[in-house]
Amino acid sequence: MNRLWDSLFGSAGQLPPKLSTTAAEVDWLYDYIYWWCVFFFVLIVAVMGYFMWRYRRRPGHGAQPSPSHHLGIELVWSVIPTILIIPIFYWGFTGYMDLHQAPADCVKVEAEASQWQWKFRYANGATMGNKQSEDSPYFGLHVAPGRNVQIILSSNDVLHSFYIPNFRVKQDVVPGRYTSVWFNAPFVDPASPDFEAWPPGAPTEFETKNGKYKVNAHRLFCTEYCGTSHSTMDSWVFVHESQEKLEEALQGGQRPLGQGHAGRGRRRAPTKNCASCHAKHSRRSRPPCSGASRRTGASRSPGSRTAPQVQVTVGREYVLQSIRDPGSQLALQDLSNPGNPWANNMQKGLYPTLENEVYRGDEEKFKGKNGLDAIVAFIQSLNQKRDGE
Amino acid sequence: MKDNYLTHSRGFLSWALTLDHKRIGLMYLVAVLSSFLVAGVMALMIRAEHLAPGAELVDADTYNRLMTLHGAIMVFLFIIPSIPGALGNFVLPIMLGAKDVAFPRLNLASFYLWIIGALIAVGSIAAGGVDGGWTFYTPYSLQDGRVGVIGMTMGVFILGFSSIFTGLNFVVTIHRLRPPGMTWFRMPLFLWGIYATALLQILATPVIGITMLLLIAERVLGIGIFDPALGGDPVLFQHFFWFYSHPAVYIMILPGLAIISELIATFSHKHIFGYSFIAFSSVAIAVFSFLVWGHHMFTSGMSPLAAMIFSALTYSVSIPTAVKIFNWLATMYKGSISFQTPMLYALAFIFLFTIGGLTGIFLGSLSTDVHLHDTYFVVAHFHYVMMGGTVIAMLGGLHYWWPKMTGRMYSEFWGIGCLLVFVGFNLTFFSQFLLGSLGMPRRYHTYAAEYQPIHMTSSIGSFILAAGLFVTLFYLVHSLFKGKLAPANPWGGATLEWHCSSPPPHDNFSVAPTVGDPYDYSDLSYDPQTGGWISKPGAHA
Repeated sequence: MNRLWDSLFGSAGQLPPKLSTTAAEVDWLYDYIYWWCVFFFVLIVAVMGYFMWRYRRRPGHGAQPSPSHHLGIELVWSVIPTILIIPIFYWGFTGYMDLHQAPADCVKVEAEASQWQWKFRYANGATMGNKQSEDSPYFGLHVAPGRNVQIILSSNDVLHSFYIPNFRVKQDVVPGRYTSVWFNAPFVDPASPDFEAWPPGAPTEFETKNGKYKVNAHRLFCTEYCGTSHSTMDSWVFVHESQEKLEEALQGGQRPLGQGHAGRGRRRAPTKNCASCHAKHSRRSRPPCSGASRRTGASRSPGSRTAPQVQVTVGREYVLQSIRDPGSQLALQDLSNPGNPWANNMQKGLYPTLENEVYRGDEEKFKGKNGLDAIVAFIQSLNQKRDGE
Repeated sequence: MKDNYLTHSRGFLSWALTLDHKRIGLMYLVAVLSSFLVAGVMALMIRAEHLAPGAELVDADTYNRLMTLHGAIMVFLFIIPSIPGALGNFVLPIMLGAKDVAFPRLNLASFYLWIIGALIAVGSIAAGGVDGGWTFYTPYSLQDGRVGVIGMTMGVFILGFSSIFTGLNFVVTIHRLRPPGMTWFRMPLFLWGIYATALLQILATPVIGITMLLLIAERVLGIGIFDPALGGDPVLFQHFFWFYSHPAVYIMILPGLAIISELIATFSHKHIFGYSFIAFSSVAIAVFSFLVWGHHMFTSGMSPLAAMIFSALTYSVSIPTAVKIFNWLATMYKGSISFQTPMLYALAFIFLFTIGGLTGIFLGSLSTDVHLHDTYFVVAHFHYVMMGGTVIAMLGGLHYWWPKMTGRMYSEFWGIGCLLVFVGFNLTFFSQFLLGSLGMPRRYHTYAAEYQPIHMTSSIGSFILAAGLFVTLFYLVHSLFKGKLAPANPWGGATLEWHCSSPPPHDNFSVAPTVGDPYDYSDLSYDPQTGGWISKPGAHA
């Protein structure tokens, strides 16, 4: 009831609490529009009600003459609303740009949508699903407080939309392209009087095998119709107490580098004939498929021997790129090693690329980023093992 | 009873092959109201499902089909043809002082195209598995070899041709069949509204045909247009869809606005205020409506520049709409206002449409739209505009012209059904604004528990609304058999349709009417003997 009363007074009762840095700006404009709407609604209905009573048809009362047009008054009520609209438009646009332009220092998290689940992939390669499952207590989108976080959105199948009401952010997820949203959410101790939660019973703890960790939880919805289970394609955003607590909470349990993924990749690798050229660890005659994480590299456009050397950040993107077009980025130490016969071939462009070899005849298995992602995760897991040795 | 258009000829074929605009209008009325009933029952099932958060009544796939059929039938089979096809067909030539529309055969063809389009559209949704809502966005609607979307667009295209025929007929009729003395600025404002609508129907509908051809080219020839798997762009489909469907929104609302201008003037017994501003605002709305389709896509991944331009253009539509409301209020000033059922609907319209229009400002503004897009706020907004606007106006118009169409008066007492409709409607849809602003996404079969109290309020409202509509249906049908005979002019209207008898004779006017100012009520006085108004001042005073 209290909430119902509050809802007469604009955003405080009508919107969820503003729990990100950009939410306040949106809510301010919402209230600005709301009060103008209330003003005009009350004005129109009051005038209508008054005329209904004052000029009701009754004995001894007829219509009285009055002008049936008046240019001045028409201009007044055309021009005044036009003027009132201009700042609303302007603030709406500037607020939209603020929601749209992510700051440069964002922590990036990938969110991959498919029917009917979200998969969150963190910078260190860990992945989590959107719902708690029996296999793993780890799920949801975990972020540190007070940090600018950018979510890179992609879809494996149809349109989805990524929506966090408490943060006032929403972005469609479009197959075939990347879109993104960003936000910066604070952490408020659930025990403190300043703590506000929406929904009222939102979890305040996230339990892992390392213990219970305080979180602020926010709902995450899919808001573009995507089929049968559209309405259950939701999740939670967990804002942890601090970066350290976040790392501690997820330490060891977060399936680093996507083990589930890597396992699938291991099973799939044989079907891709990887082993006809590659070994798990480098041998003289075969190009290594692991160990890439240690190297800096040179970038080369295909067919050019004199391409400029660049520093390559070796990681998931590098492995992916090397599968797609193995010669595009070669490590200098490989090229300079005369004992590497394949390095010569690579330089000559004698190698299979994903586009011309692997896809052919095998399109279904590689279709979607899923198949390829599993292989990449598998190769990265090899790196990690080696690094650990 | 005198010979009239209902008794002029008898037998099934005299109706099925009729070229009389009044009979075609009545057939349209039965057809669109049947669609309203069917889609309304679906809405009630949806609301019943939402009484509780989980899946209680229907499973997810059934819910999604229901939601899609509700939207598609309401939009394409009911609201778009409702006022032009049913009331417009009946009233427009009489109001104009003509014997019929310019192309009576095209008019009949339009009705049969509606039937064919309805069968194809509903059939392809039911059989082809379109369940993505009435917007059928790709690539979902094309997934797993679904072809329903092509059938659906085909159906919509045929329905579109039905409304093109109606629109073309009205444009030509208004240009060519005005009798002597009926100048453009002596036309009742209803005709201006219908004229603007007709222009939209003719110009916007072909785009949905182009969309369909592109979909077929994609499916059959494998050319990537909308499907990203083929290199197409799903957002392009949204552009195509809304390029038609946004003007379609104004095809729906303009005739509603037009009816309200008539009702307010007649029941205030007062000359309409700002005739030319109201007339030109209809045309302005029609023109601007072509330029604002992008406001459905602010979160689609469209460029911020495009979003900015569409936001600015969107506000340009709001001004002529606001002007109409102010003019109606000014019309009531110093009038003699009677509260018969059509006027109750007109006043309800002003109340509801004001809410619908003002909430559009939240959605036209970019940053607030990001939060509200694809939530129940949008659902509430367009129900306030489409149902609180167009459907309420249509009900007002139906009550207004009912005596003219049927020759019978309904019981004014039961006009309080309007009150049930008004209360039920607000309960149903105002609560949905709150749902939406709290973040409840639309098109959800199940929902999070925190939304349940508001969902329940909305559902209860919808049952009250339904009760009001059934009461209305009941007393209207009852009046056909038991109603008092209607006088020629029961409300004191000054437009030409009140000059001919109720119901009108086959060829509308036995004597050519004299055309005057359509809003000059000064020489009308009430005749208690007939229960109607006559135009000899003081004859019975």
